[in-house]
Amino acid sequence: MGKIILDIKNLKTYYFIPGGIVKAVDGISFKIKEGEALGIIGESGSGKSTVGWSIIGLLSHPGKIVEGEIFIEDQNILKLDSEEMREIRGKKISMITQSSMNSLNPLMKIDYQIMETILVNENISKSVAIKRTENILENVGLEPSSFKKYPHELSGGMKQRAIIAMALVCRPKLIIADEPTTALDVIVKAQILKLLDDLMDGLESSSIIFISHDLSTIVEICDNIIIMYGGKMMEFATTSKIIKNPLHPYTKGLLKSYPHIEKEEISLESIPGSPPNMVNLPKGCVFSPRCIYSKNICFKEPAKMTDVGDNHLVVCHLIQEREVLYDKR
Amino acid sequence: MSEIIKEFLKRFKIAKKSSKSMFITGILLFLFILFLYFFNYLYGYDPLEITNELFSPPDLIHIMGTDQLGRDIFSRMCYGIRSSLTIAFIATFISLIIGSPIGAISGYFSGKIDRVFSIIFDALCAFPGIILAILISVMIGPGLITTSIAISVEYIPQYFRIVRGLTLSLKERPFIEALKALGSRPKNIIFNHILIYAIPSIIALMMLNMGSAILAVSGLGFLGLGLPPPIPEWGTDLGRGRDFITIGVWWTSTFPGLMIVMSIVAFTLIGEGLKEILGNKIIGIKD
Amino acid sequence: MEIRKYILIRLLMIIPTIFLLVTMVFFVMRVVPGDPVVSLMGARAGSEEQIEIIRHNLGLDKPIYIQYLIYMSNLIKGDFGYSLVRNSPVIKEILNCFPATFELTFWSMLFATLIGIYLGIISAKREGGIVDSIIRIVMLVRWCIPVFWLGIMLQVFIVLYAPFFPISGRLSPRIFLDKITGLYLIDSILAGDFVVFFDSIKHLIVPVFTLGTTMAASLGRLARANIIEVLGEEYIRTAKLKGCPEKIIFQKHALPNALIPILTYAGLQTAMLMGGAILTETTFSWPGLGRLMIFAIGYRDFNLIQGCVVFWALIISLMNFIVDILYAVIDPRVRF
Repeated sequence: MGKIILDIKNLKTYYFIPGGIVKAVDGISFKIKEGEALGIIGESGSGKSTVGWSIIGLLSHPGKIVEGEIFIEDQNILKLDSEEMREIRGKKISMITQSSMNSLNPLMKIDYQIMETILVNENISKSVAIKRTENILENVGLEPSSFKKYPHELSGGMKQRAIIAMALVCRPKLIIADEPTTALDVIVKAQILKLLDDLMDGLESSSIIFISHDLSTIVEICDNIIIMYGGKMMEFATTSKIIKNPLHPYTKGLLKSYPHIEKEEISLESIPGSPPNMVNLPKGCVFSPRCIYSKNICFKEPAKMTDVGDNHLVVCHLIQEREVLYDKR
Repeated sequence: MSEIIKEFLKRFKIAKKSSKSMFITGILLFLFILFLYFFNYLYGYDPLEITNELFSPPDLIHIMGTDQLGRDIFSRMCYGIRSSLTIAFIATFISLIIGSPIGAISGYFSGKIDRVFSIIFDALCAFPGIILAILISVMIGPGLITTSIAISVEYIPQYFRIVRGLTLSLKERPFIEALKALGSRPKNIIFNHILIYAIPSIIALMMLNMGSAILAVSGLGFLGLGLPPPIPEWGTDLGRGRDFITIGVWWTSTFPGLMIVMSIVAFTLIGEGLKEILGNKIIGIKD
Repeated sequence: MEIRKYILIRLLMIIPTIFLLVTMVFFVMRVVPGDPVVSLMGARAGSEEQIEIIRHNLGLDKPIYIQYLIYMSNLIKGDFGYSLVRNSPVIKEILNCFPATFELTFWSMLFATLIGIYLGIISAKREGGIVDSIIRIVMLVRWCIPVFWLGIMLQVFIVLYAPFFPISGRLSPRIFLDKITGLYLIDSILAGDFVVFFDSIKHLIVPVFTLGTTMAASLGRLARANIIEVLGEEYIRTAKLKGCPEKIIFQKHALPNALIPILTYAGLQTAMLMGGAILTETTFSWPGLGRLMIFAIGYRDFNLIQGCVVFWALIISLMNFIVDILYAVIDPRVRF
């Protein structure tokens, strides 16, 4: 199962606003294999959601993909016109969005909204579609009594399940999950995460990109993780390497800022400073202003990607110059 | 106050082209109307002067012709500006002065006061505006102030609603909590802090109301319930003027209407443009 | 909540609403500053005695709470009082004039809804483009044109260039019709008289166009604004994510959500007009409730004025009720 489903090369997506140009995604490249689960972690404004919207081709207004290539199963989808892209959406690539008050049509029953996804993407009869709808709704953990309900009658967690059902029902090859649990309370969050995990196990040939600002949510599900900051990739590695051996200063900072439910004596540290001004990014490494290890060169030019071995990629001058950072944990 | 002006200029700069052009066109039209009035005031005929040239069609001497009493229509139209705009302004002002503070008080204190006022104003809304205006006008007689009052009643609930909505959303903000903690009296909080924020929305609503008020004034005038003759007023002149259509006199009916349309367009453009420039700071303005 | 239950509840709620409105009319007619009798008599004010006689006839000399009781008990019986000027029961005058207003209002609002919503849809679909700008300008200017002036201008045009086309009334002189419903289009078909049918249509065209375009302007602007707003909602984005084609997104997702408040507004506007499209009827000498009311005001016929306003309030309540029910049928959120 080494087939590459998604291959992004040097993606640059900018937002052209009256105040300037927001370089939301500034040169991101990665590949995803069939069946793989990739997590993209970053603060708000890091560009992580923009990556998702760029892939699915629904960037909101002042945004434009200015450079790069996105290959889905060897097809460069950036070269497709809107109609061809529409064909792919829902069928080959789908997205799970954060379920807010209005993410589902308030005038349509839930089962109809799922069924619509099937009917729009596949050429099957209504009765078969109804069966499949009921199936998937059960799979996402909704009771049959909820099937004919309207969105406003459902709780946040139930709505999120419905949205997941919509995204998965046509068994797309690539699923992008954009902060699917952010708006939910802790217990529901855990339920939904487990649900996603189980569903992905069931969809062996589908891959998922899980976008979040919360590292703890994706640790269970994801095989690999990309750390993003200021529109650029900081680090890429398998989940366990990120957790056990983070190399980029930002990643280290992120991990240190999570309270450990068992270890009480380790103090919480936050990363000093504030997120970068996306219109006026610092010269050099985007993280340098907040980095406790930054040297002169960090402020002068951005670092290049270094492979420290076994496909663990880091974008940091210190790593680049082979200065391995030891830190007492 | 200066922050509000700065905020307005900021939003103006980033507003859509169409909104800006609407707003500016409206302002220009308004200035043109003012210009007409003053130009005519200085150089025009006496709008009340009765002459022998009855029903003179538009020509170089009387560019809009003369009416059934030989009066120059152009001059009457320009003096009509004064009538319509004054009444519209007073009416709008009255509804603003009554509706806004009550809305702020209602929103700020909530509870029983809020419920009582909300019911009263909802009921007032249900009543058809023209009927209210006509009835009040009939009861208290024709005249500048009375007509203004008659028209104003319809708009009071709108100011109430907007200011109340704004107050409700501002009430929970930290700076209000801070003021309360510092011991500011409610009167002070409401008037100096909350109402200030309402000013942009109120002004936009005012402009739109000016437009409908002019429509209302001319409607009343058309029905014979407006300012008493011989005061020049577009609606009244229109109402009288239409009696002469059958003898082929079209100018007594056409020009008053054009003036009405022009002035309503001016205020509507200003109001709509302002509404769009200010963006979603406006809560619930109905057409 | 089931629809049936909702209807029942709304039906029950209508009673206090009507009660409130009718009470409001009572007070507006009496409590507004100015002595009703004196101001109603106006320039024809007679001696003290005459005023007192009139006051007594109208029952205005009794204490207010007694007046109120008489007023309410009469209304429940369907007694709207007696018109001193027309010399007949007020309710009879009203029911005589209502069909005319109904016919005018019905066709005008139908026209307005179809044209207004259609233009609103086109405008919203091509937002920002030239077509949108043109439609917006046209609708804005049309909104600013008083209905009575447009009517007059059309009359001027007809008098000058098409002098045989009717400019007022419901039927040409010397045309007669047996009134069954009072709705001439229906009555003429029932009577099998197509001359009258086409004559009625000829008389309806200009007023319906005038009133219809006036209403279309505000409906259209509302439709455009609503559709644009709905198109920015999250569920539209969700529909796009599903891969729905533009057509389905627009027709099945956007339009239903956008048009609900418009139908409510249209319903309310219809209610307002059904009580008497005063300005339009005056312009075209249309024998409806509006003109009846102006007539009553002109002659200071207290009972007739009051009766017309009460009738208006009742119609509005009824229309509000119908609109609410329709709303509940279409929008599931309302029932809960």
